[in-house]
Amino acid sequence: MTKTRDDRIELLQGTLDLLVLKTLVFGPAHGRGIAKHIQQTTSNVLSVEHGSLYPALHRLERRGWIAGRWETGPRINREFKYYRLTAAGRKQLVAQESKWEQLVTAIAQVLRPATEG
Amino acid sequence: MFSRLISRRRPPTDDEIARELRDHLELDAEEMAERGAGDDARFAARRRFGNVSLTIEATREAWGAFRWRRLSQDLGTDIAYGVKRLRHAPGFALLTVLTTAIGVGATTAIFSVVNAVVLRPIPVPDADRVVAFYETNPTNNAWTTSDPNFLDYRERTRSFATMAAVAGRSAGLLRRGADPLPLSGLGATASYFSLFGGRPLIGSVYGPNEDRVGGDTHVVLLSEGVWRRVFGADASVVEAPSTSTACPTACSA
Repeated sequence: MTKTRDDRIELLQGTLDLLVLKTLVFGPAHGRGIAKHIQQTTSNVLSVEHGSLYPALHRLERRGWIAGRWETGPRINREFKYYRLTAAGRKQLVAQESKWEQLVTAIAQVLRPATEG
Repeated sequence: MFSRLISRRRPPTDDEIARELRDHLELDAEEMAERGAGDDARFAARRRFGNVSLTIEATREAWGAFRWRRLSQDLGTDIAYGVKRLRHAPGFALLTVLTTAIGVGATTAIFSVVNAVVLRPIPVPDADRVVAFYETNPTNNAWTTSDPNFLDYRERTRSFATMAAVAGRSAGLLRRGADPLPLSGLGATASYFSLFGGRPLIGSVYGPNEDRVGGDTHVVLLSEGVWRRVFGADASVVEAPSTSTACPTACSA
């Protein structure tokens, strides 16, 4: 079931990094695999364009949070650049996740003050 | 150690980034083919994929200053390696240094000449407005202009402010009680001096009425070298009649 373009939501600035790091917790993946995973888990609400995906991947790699390496895929006999989470990346993910939850809670408090106390 | 070396962060080449994107595109296309999508759908997907070169550019920029730091590190390593290698082969190193030195020397020498002769403007006022022209004969060789032709050119020109002509005029210097002295020289129209702005150390240059064919005034301008060597820098040579085969009788220096 494919959603139309209008149902898609633009990613908030900075959230793509978090989503990429989270996706890599489940194991190494290449760029398209990461994009596909985000798209499928959100039922196509979030669609990751390559124009933002690859700069993000390389930014994360430069910071040492993920490591990319060209290797042959598990099911396909072909080389892809696979990214995996580094130890520093795992720490970063924990920090960013808690920050994100704080942000969500804070925004919810502003939007629905009545439900709180 | 080895795996650390491999996984060490390094900026990717443009080719690597392009390859990553191409893989992405190809997998998209394969998936579409499996689903049996038509050409239109593929084209639409292709279009949706957007500008690949823009993505490559943005991805490259994600590395930013990292690239430069890496580059300077590489440079340091390369230089250290080069020095090490040259130490291992001093004979070769010496040969290399000599070759480079001779090469640089030769290039510098040639450039000095070219700079002086071709590049640097001649030391006259409005050097960019000075041109030399000559006639050519039917086989396209430079040819001398006859005196009457020059006078015609000078009279009828509308393109040049001033025109001057020079011609080789060797002379022999005859003085009483001394050996004859051959001199090389030039005959020049009076306008030559106004054109190039030269002034003699002593005496004066000749005017427009003194350079005419058939005129009765004969003036020579001595070079400073001849004036000092032959006449002992004697200021009284000016206006003193001298004798030479080319028959000038008065001189300025």
